[in-house]
This record gives sequence, C-alpha cells and structure tokens, in this order.
Amino acid sequence: MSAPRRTVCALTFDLEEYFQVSAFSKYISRSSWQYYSGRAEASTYKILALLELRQIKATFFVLGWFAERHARLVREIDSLGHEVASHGYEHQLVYRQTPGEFRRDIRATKDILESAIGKPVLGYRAPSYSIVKQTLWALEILAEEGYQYDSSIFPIHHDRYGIPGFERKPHIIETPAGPLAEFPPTTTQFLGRAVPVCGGGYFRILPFAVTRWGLNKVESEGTPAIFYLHPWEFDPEQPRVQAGILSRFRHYTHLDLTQARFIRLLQLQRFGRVDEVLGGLGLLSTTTAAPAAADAPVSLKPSAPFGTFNSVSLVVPAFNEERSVVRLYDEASAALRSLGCEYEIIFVDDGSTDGTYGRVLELRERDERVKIFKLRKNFGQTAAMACGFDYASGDVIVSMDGDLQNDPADIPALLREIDRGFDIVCGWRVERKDRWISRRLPSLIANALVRKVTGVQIHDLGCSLKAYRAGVIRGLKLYSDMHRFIPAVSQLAGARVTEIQVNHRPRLFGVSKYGLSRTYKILIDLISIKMLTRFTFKPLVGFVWLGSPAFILACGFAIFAVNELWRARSAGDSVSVVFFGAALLSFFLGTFLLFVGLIAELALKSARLSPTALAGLSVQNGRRK
Amino acid sequence: MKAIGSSIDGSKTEPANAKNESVDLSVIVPVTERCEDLAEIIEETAEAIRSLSLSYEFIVVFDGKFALECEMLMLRRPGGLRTIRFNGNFGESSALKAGFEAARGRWIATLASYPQVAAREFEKSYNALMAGADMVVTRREPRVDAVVNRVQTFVFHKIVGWLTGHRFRDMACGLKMFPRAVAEELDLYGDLHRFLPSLAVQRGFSVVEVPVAQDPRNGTMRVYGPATYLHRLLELLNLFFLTKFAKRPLRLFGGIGLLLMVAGAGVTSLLTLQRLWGLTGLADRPLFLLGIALLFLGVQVMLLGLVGEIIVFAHAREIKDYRIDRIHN
Repeated sequence: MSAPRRTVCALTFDLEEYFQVSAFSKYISRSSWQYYSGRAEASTYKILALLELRQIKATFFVLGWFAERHARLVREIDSLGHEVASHGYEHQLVYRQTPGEFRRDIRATKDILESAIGKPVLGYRAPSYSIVKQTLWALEILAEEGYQYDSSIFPIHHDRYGIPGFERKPHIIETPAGPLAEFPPTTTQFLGRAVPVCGGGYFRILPFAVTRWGLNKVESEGTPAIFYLHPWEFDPEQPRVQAGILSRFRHYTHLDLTQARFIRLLQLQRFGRVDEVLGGLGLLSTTTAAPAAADAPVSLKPSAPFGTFNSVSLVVPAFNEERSVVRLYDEASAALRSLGCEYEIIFVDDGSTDGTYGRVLELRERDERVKIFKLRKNFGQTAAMACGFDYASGDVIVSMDGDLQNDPADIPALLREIDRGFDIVCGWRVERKDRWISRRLPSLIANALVRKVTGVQIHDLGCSLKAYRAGVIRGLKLYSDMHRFIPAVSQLAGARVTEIQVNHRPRLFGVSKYGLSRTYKILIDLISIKMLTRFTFKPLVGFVWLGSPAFILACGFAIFAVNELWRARSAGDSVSVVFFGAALLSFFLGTFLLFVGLIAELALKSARLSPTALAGLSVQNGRRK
Repeated sequence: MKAIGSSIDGSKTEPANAKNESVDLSVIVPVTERCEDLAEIIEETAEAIRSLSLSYEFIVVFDGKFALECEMLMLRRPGGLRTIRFNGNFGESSALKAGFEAARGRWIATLASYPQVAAREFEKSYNALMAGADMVVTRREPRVDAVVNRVQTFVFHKIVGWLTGHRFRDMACGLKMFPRAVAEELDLYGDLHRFLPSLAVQRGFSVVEVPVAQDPRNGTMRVYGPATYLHRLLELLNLFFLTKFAKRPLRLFGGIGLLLMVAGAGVTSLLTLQRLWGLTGLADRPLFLLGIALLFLGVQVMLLGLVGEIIVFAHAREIKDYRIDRIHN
C-alpha cells in the first residue's frame, strides 16, 4: 500500500445548507428557505478547525446567498489562509438558467464575496456540477466576468450532471472571451470508464480503500486530484428530508463516518488550495493567483525564511567515511545556505579508524559552522545520532547518513514540511539503490510489519534522513536501536509525523554497515514498542488485560476439575489431578501478572515519566514550542 | 551525570566537578579479604612511588569486619595514609567507589590488600599510563599459583572475554592505574569491580594490560567453597545480561519466553488433538500439566522482559549510549 505524496491534491468545500441540495429542490422550494435554520455555519467551523490542526489550506466555494448571511465566516475563511471562490448565488442549476440569468447570478456572487474579503475571486464551481454539454456557453461568460478557473465539468455519466469523455486532467479552455482553466472533478480510469473517486458521496458511501486506490491511481498518472465535500456531510444530526430512496441514499449514507474518514484522508497526501494547485501547473494567467504570498502570516522577523523556526542543525554520524565527508559537507552547506537561515553542521565521528576525523577538522578550519564530536570508540549509529541531538543548538534538527546515500538537496523540502506544522518529517527512499535480497526485501517486510503493528503510516523507518523539531527529539531519548521507532513513539506523545519522498543514491565509497541478522532484533523490538506505546502510561491495566485470559482459563479448567471429581466419586475411581493442576497454574499466572503490573507501575512512578515529558511537547497559544 | 565539561576547542573531556588535585597519585586499597601484610605492602609501594618522585596518598578502605585491622594500621601511622571504615560489610565494589570519591590525586592506582604483585613493578604500570593509556591493568606473569587456580582463572577469563568481546588474562590482579576522570565514569556496583577493565572498554577507554612479576607470597593454593563458585556464576550471568541486554531486556527474555511458549503450545495442542480424535482423555495425561506449565512460564518470562523494557524506557533520559572524546564546538 503506497500513498501518493508528490503532487498536491486540491481540497474543496462547497458551502451550502443541507436544504439547498439540488436533489431536494422538489421537496423544499426556494421560497421556503427562510423557514429553515442554517446548520452549515457550525459544520464549516468544524471543518476549519480540522484543517487548522493540520495546517492545511483549502478552497471554499461559497453560495452568494450564504455569504450574504455569514459574511463574518467568509472573512474568517479568508483570514485563515483559505481560498474563497464562487458557487453561484442561489444554487440554481446552470442548465435551468438562461445565459443572461447565469451572468447576473455569477456577477452578483462575485461582488458579494469580493466585498466580503476585499480580494478578487478567481474560481467558480457550478451547483451540482451543472455545466453540461448544453450549457458550455457558461464558460465564456465565466471568463468574461473575470473568473479564472472553473471546476464544474464532471467527465462521467450521471443522471444530474456530467459530460462523458471530457478531458479528465486540469487544462486550459480557450473561450472567445479568453482562456479559462478547467479543473474537472477527479475521476480515474476503471475498466475503460471514468469513475469518480474524489469526494462527496463517492467518498462517504464506498469503502475508504476505494478513495485511497483512486488517489494512488491518479498520482501514478502524474496529475493532481481535486477533492470535494460539503459542510452538511460533516453533520450527522441534520434533519432528514423525505426525498426519494436514491437521493436519501446518496445524501445520508455514512454521514457519521465522514469526519473520521476525512481525518484519515488528510494523512494520505498533501492538500492545498485550488489556485495554488493550478498555479503550480502554470494554468492560471495572472500572479494575483498567489494571494498567500501577499497575505503571509505576520511573523516577528519578516526576513525569516521559515515562520516557525530560525535555525537548523544538521547531524551527520560518520563512521569511516573519510572519502564521503568532504563531498557531503559541500552538498549539505550548499543546500543549507540556500535556505537563508542560520545553520550548523554537526559531524559525530563514531570512533572512525580511518582519516574521517582529520577530514572534518580540515572542514572546520574552513567553516566555523562545522561542529565536531569525536566519540571514544564506535558506539553505533543510534548513539552517535543521540550525541548530535543532545548538543545541537538549532530549533530544527535534520539527521542524515554520512555515506552520501541521502541527498542533502532534499533538506529544504523536509524543512518546509516542518514549517507547515509537523514535528517529525521522515524521508522515504522510494527508489532504493541497494541490493534487493539483502537490504530492500527485509526492509520492505519490516516496514510493513511496523506500520501494521504501530499504526504509524510511515513507509521507510530505516531512512536516516529525517527532520525533527528540537524539543520533540530531545524529550525522546534515543537508546539501543530506538531511532527506527522514533515516529511510533513520538506519535504516542502527540507529535505530528509525516513523510516525503527523498532521493536515494547508490553507495559510492565504502561498504554497507548492516547485515541481514537484524530481523530477530527488529521483531522483538517491535513487540516491545507495541507494548510500550500501549501500556507505558498504564501498565497495571495492560498487565491485567493480558492476564485476564488466564483467569478465564482457570475457571474453565476448574469446571473440568469439578466434573472429574464428580465422575471419579460416582464411579469409585481415583481422582485425576490434571485439571486441578491446570486450573491452579492458570490462576497463578493471572495473579502473577497482576503483581508484575504493580511492579511496572512502581518503576514508572520512580522515573516520573509522563507523556508530555516524553516528547517535550506543549502547545502554547496554538503554536508548538 | 554529565561527563562533558567545557566547550573549549578540542578539550579532552574533564569531570565537571574537578576537585583540588593536591597529589599526583591516590593509591586505593580496598580491604575485604586477608590483610595481614597490609602495612608492609603500603611501605613497599610508598617506597616505589617515592622513587618515581611522585606525591601520593594512600586511601585504605576497610569493610566492616576489619575494624580491628584498621585500628592497628592507624597506630602505625605511615605517612600519607587516609582510612575509611565501613559500618557494615559492603564489599569490594563499594570500597573502591568510596575510595574513588575520596581520592584527590590526578591518577588513581588500586592495590590488593594482600601481597600479589612485586612492589617494584609499580613503575612499569606507571610508565604504561604515561604512554597514553586510559587504564592500565596488570597480569601476573609468570604465575606461581597452583595449577588448579590457574585453570580456574583461565576458564573464567575465557568466558568473560567471550561475553564482553574483549579478553583480559588476569582481571583479579589488584594493581590497576587510571586517571581520576576515568574512575568517575565507571559506575561500580554489586560485584562488578571484578570486571573493571571490561567496563572501561565498554565506555570507550583504551585499556592496556602489562605483565608484572607475581609476589612469591601470593603463590599458595586457594580452594573455595561451592558458594563462591555459585557467586562467580551469577556474576557472569549478570555480566552477560548487563553487557548484551541492559537496554533491550526483551531481546533475551522474549527469545527464551517464545521458545518456552512454543514448546508448551506444542505439547498442549498435541494432547488436545489426541483428545479430540478420541484417543485419550486429557485427565489421563499428566503431560498436559507440563505443557500448560511451559506455556505459562514462557508468558511469564516474556512479560517480565516487558517490565524490563518499561523500566529502561522510563529511565531513557538517564541513558547515555555514547562517550565523547573531543568536542570542537
């Protein structure tokens, strides 16, 4: 199972009330809207909070009608860095309008939205994707009215919308009034047909795996996807409209699952605003498409390249890497210099017996940003890294191998993810340049196993190229082979973990320093980590939980034992003690575990370990320190 | 415990709490065994140190049961003598530790309380220390002991070498020398004093073994009771566990536990199958009890390993897996 990471998926929400859904217009007329009380505002705040926690920006297609009544919410959406776009005024389907009515509709909506946020509105999505074959004239009017992109043409068969066979990728449509970018709702090819995979009912009703499969497939085609949802889909308590069976199925299935699935979805891939995604493809004509830059959050140091940290420490453990360190230094300092923030490069000489120490000393002569820690002997990679982490002074720490297999050019990308609000960013060597049998296969199995057991969706635990917020990694002391499980353990402490694809280069110098023999250790460590992450803060509960089957077993054996006693007495036989013994043993085991749990509590108490101490995490004024 | 000192460029790491170094050499003599010749040993050794023109102090640490001997030594008042007397019998590791804490010298030498090494050999190990070793240990050569004792020693060191990956030939030889900074990093407890050189190697110190002549008075045959051998065995087990699994106890417990569980599960499931096929009732198979016992023993061993993991994890902040030689900051 591989998740797309490289492209950014556009995330969109169509802001409308539950009673404005087109399928219900038969039952709720436009004139009766005033009698219904709105619920979308509360749901939208929920969505905004979900996005804010993950520092994700999205595009909100807002009804003019809605914006008139909730101008404050619209301004709030804009000030949080999201894009506000148009969804038409009254959710009137385009194919029910004349060109003149359509023009008035979208012009009014644009005016309402622009006066609310004081910025140009670039995007449009037709209510219920109602730009179909007969209404393609709408595109020209959109361009004339100053819209720059549209996201309304669903390239599928559907009873309400869609143009089957329409271009599936984002593209430019040349209208007589000028170019208009079209971002069709994402579909993927399945059995030769375009099937919708990205959002709405398709996301809610079908299993989550379908959406994941679809996103992967679209990713493999190399195009960005666009994902859509509505506030009412986050509102399982909404009043149900007594519409037809099909409409009720489409709109009310799994409303209670949307939020949980949405959270899972957000971990799958990077998400962004539509204008940024289209801009990234070069499909938006003007530079006004980058309001994010013009409206960047005010930071104390306006010149600082990153909002959430000022300095970076690169930690490189090196064991007999005399041929690599100089080149590594050159590449790394080029990458770090390009960032424009303070940095240091820490070499930890892990007891090298070649000229590594001399080489890094020479580097230090040239550049005082090089720091050197020479260890007394070879203590191993985890220990060397721990040394670097302990003495690093940066706000963010980046670790990488000393053997040049990691590419320092990936560092800026890691740091951007940190700046987006993650605490740990792991590298993922998608194309590993190692031997298949001895390195890649065991690693694939181990990683899949670790993902399965710990539930942390990181693909490449062995990759040394990682970036950490200093506070997080300092709280988490490294020992033994712990570095492999940093993501799992830190997630236990509430850290936000993500991964990005990184380059991996074949080994130029020296020999690989691992063998195949690690399987047993990783397996056992995995059991340990699983138990630690589950039970560290409540071992007594854990051990009693583990011991409860023993008590049940004891009861079972006791029943057999009484039965045996009964049989023996009535038959005048001698009594067999086997079941008595088994019952006693089971009972002893259960009791033993109870007391072992108490001892574990004692050990924990004496160490004064708490979740917050573990990861050094605290949230102050919404920003992680 | 912070073993890293200043950030002076390229500084050799110094203890943070450097005490006033009033003498060159502190000689620590832990007295936990026989000590009839103690006064002579001290005099001979002092003579040897004086010939190296070093200033020195003797710190003699008496275990509780040697109160009388302590008083006797004090009465003779040799120069530069300091004594520590324990209230109870705390053993050699505690004695050494107390000696390290009291020491004021730049270097520390340890010495057995009975004649073991000829005093004139002191110079040899001092020279080795000056040559740059972090720790100098000695081996008595040629040995004049009884063959029984030599075989014992050989086997013991063979096992220790196999366990720790670094072989010494005579760790029981009391004469050792090292800078005080090294002493402060070795955390001694229990019976680990016997493995002092191994501990030093583990912390990344360079340890040099020099051959020294054995004191002829040391050559008698010593026979120990079974309890001594049992203790030695347990020490080895402890060393084995601490060197290989101190940070990952489950790697030992888990493996053993899994084996036991597999054996137990095999026995019980075989018998259960036989019962299901209607061959023999479980009540007539005492082997079933063994299976259950093995299975549960496996579970217990495994879960005790987990407790170990929890303890280590909870104290992870105190673990330091690395030792720094030099810092260029």
